[in-house]
Amino acid sequence: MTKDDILTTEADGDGETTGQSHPFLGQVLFYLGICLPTGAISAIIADGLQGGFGWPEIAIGLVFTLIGIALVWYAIRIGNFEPPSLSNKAGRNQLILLFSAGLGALASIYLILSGRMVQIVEGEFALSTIEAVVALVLLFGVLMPIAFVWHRQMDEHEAAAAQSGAYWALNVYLYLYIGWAIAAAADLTPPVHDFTLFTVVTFVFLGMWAGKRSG
Amino acid sequence: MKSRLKVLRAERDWSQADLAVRLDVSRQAVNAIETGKHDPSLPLAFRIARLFDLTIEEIFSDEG
Repeated sequence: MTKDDILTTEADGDGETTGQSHPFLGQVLFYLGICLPTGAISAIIADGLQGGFGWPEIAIGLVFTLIGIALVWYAIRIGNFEPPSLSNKAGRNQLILLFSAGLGALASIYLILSGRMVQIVEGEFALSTIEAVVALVLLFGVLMPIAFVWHRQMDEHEAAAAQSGAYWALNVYLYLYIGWAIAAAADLTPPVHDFTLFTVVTFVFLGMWAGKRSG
Repeated sequence: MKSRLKVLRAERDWSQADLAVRLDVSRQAVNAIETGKHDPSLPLAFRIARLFDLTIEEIFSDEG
């Protein structure tokens, strides 16, 4: 017998499920668990800023926050994730993903509170000069370097997962964009919606990447 | 590709995490190799072979 932290979900090719961990479901629930409190906290604050804090809104927000925390806790239990650490590649990889998730949550809270999220979803996106400069500094000064560091910390299995995600995301982008543009040109569909396209492509990448990296 | 990695690991009473640390890869990578979902690169296959003091052919086979 091997030690009890085995991740195996299939026995030697016969398809028999023997494992206790669910890395793919764990990843999905973990990120969902981060998104729920992010949206809930933003909504509570946004409501408070607009018309004062109302208890029903706060209660609903707190419920979603608690559900999110419970999802993160459950995801960590079933996900059998690599422990974040500076001492090895896999651990550093996890630290980078956690930092990125935190940064994404903070950016989402800002976008919701500033009303920019509604503009993005509606396809109208206007920024002040200061906001644009800050966003560009974050994009090229923080996120891009993180992407390079992440690439250096990947093991080959993680790289294969990212490659698979990138391949399918690129294909979906090309065919969806061209197909949508052709259909829109003949008035068969509304014009190409940037945010919808971005969301679909991003989720295709995330789905393929998370599925493959879960082993 | 089939491998004897799981058996070799079990003989040494190593967990996937133990083996992952020795190979500087993630546990998911070890699991994916053991279940045949990921074929290791040649450099990683050599590292595995050296770790177990075997040849690559003694660990991996392209049957099935």
